[in-house]
Amino acid sequence: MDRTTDPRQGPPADDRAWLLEACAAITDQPVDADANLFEQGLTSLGVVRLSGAIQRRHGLRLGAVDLHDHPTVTQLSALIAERKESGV
Amino acid sequence: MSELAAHPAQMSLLAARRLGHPTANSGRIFRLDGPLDQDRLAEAYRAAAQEHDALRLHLSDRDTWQTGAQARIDVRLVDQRRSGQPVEPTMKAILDDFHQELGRRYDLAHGLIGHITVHRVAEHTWVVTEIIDHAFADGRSMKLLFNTVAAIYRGDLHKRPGSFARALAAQTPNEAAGAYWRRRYADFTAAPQARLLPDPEPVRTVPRLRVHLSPAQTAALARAARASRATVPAVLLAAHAHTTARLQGTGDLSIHVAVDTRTDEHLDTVGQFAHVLPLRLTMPWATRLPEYVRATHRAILEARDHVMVNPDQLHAAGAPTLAAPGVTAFVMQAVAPPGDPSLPGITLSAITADSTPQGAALSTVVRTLDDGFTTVELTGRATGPLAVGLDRWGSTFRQFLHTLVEEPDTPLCSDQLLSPTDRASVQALATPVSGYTGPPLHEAAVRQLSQTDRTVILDTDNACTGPQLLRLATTTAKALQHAGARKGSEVLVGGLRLADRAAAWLACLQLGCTYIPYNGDTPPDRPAALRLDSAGVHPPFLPPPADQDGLPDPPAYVIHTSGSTGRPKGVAVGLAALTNLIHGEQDRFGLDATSRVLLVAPPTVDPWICHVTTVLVQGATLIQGNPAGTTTLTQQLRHHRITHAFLPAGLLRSLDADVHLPDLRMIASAGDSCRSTDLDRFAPARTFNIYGPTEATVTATIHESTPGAGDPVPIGRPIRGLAARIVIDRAAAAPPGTPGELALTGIGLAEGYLEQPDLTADAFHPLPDAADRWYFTGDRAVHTAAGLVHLGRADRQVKIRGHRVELDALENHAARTGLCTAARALTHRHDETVRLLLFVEGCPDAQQLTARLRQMLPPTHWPHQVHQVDRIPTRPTGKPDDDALAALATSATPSSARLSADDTALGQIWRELLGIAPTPDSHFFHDGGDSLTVLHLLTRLRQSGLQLTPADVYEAPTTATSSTGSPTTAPRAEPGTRARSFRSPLPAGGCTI
Repeated sequence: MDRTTDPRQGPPADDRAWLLEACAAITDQPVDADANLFEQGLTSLGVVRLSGAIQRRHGLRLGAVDLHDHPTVTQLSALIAERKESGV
Repeated sequence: MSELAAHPAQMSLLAARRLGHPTANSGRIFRLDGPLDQDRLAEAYRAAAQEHDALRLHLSDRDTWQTGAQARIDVRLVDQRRSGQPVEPTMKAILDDFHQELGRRYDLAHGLIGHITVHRVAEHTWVVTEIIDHAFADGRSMKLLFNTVAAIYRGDLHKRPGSFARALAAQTPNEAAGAYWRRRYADFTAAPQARLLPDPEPVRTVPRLRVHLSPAQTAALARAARASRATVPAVLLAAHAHTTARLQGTGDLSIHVAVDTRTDEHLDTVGQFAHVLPLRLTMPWATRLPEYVRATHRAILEARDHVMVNPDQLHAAGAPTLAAPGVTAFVMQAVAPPGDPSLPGITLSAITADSTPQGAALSTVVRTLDDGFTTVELTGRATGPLAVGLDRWGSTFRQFLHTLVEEPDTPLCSDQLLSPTDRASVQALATPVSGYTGPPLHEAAVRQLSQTDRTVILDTDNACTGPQLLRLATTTAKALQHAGARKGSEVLVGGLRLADRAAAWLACLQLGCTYIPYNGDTPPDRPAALRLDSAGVHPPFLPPPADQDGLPDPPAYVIHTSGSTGRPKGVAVGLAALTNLIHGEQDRFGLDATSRVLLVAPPTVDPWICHVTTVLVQGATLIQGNPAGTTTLTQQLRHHRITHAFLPAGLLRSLDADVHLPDLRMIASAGDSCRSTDLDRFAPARTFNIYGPTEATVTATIHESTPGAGDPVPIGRPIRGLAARIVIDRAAAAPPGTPGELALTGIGLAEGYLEQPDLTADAFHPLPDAADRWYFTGDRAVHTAAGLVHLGRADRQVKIRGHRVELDALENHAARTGLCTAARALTHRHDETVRLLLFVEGCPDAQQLTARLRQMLPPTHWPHQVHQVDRIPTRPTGKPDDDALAALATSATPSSARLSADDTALGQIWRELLGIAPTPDSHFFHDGGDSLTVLHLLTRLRQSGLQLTPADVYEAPTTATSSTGSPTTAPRAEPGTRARSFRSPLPAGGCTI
């Protein structure tokens, strides 16, 4: 996570890989990109950490509900891409 | 440093504290064993406290903070070693002190706000107690503080902790939050709090129950949470919510939940970030457990996205406060002491302390411990309705977790989620005992009537023996057949005397026709039906209906009841339901050939069918009574040597108690408001209370009362062949003791409403979790050890200022005072203000009645006006005429009235805040004021130049309080302000009458 402190650093192609790694660091276990993160040990504290990490990298503020409604790495990357696209 | 606005989490806490609600300090207690350098530890505490700016804050006016130079924490070492003595008593004393200190009040502006004490209890054993005012530190802060302490003790370089002041400065007002919470709480109604049953034994100490989950159970719970794609706190909150819903009997709840509002950048910041937010949860009864858990999880996360909300925004949204009746609280704490990093060479072990009551009716505090255990601690308000049943609460809570782990596919409404004891009671009530069997009714009647020369029908002006009645019935059957009647034909019967009606009914039974009685000259509009009245059968010939062979049995009779929409509903009852009822009358009431049965039921209601049929089948005697006759009903009972009397409760009450009735074997009260004293007068005759909607064939439940048993008189248990449930939201079973809607099933159910399939489908349908057909009565009831107790009509629950009020409960209590003979409650809307009116008949002293009601009922149920009337007007159906009463209310002066307006500043503010104009006797909290409205009241009064504190309002909550305040200026307050000083005769929050 440390190398992601500077927002908007990573090239977009890396976004999914970055997210996978960030989730693994937060849940302290390897993460399956297509499995629900809450099935893989994401806690309420983890939700805060993850949304903080996403904000630092993407400058994008996701709500806790967004994480609930897009609970896999794949869905979350798509959401991030979509929000960045629409400039929300 | 400049002034900093308080965090919303702090605002709620400060508001609650200002109102004198119990608020706890943050606290931890743990034990250290090993070679501890205690001076070094104390120094580390002092240094660490200094590093966290939250511990240096001072509260100034208007809820703002200023940062001071010194941490406001006292750190001390105490030597409590006693040589040769065991350490346990010392440790116990320390724990007791700790519990005391948790409730200690600190001054937020000056002096200390926390105490940290390192107690040496043995050579190598210490107990550390940490207490910090909750406005300065939440649970997580305590852990973070100790992390700094441990790092300093070890001499490690550590990251400078986050600044609370910076977090406060960074907080941005969330404009959308208010709108979100308004949406969330639209149409929310607080749970009913009427004391509908006798009060439980008062509890003196704080009720407390601990449920321990072993490490294996905790791990299974974590797995279940993952499988539900939710977090462990979400699972526990879901269990708390479900338990509350079942035990309060409502699927729509508001639960106060402690939510950590830290964002990622403040995760390591000490301060008060724990916002106790109201969370509205609606039970999705038909869904399976994991889906429900997921929905609960989403609700928490959604609330978390809208945490930056102030108490006044929540209040404006209509969210109830923590102190509101029926509101429960849920707090999740990870109290595991920081294991890593820790103090070198030292073993640290947590000591479990009692959680402090959160001020809610019931609080669940969940603590996960580092030894793998999870502790669920339930605490209640000593007088709270939930608190007295903590054991039941705990076992229901446990049952939810157990089912989620073992049988996750269970739907939320399943009986499986009740505690095993409750489930057994619920299912025993819900399973019908095999019904009554016997010969077909017509056959049984013919056999009896042909054998007896006794009078079977004694009308006011004629008598009829069995054979005579049989001849009448045969003639009628022939006339009907001649006109084309056959099985399934409808026969409208009206305008006949008793014997002819009974004969017509018997003829219908013989032919398999559907008997439809009517009154007066206007039969129901049934074009395909034959009509039978004193002029004979019309039309002379009815073309035969389409071939009925292969169709299900036609209804035996149809009784029209008044629908709530005004359109009468024809309740169609089949022969099987009636047969079960009739063949049980002997068993239930000892009704046999020697019985002389009083008939007061009009021919258009179903008790008429029941009594007539029973008498014919038993060969007994039916005597037409006349409540409006020249002799009293009591005299008629005596004169006709009545053995069995079934009367509506009101008529039974009107009987003369002094008349000796040696022949009376049993007497039954039917309908609402049966009083034990009314029944007790007839001993040694057996006395019954009967309950039965037409849709469940006359009698659904009965209760045989014993003299002196008191009120309320239960409606007892279902008769054989029928079964009952108390249901929440027409889905889930309410456990014994919890009010809900009464639902019935079994052979006694009617077939439905004639040609009203929508109404039928609405009232008769299966439960989500059971295939049987149930009839939902619209009656509220509760299952008690003495049987079912009727509480009133569900459609007579009204909402007044956000609280559910049961009009029937108010009426029943008024009747029970014995200070009036009848009562009718209704609501009256005037200028957006809903008022609760009570009309009383036979009440010489309305003031005394009002006073008694205030002792018996919660403030939500106190009438705003009591009107004494000579007679409560009734509609032709005999039901009270609410329209006529409402007209009375607008024209008459109530016996105990409020003033229509108050010209003082206080009066105006009062009206604005509470929607009700006050009288000199108006009580702030009884008019709907609550802890937050108090704050609004004070602000508004200050603007008008009156300085009052919340304590003033609590101590003297009536209108004239304003004059006892200290007017700094006196703007237009004088003319109307009453000089009378009000002192509440009861403690704060009590009643002033």
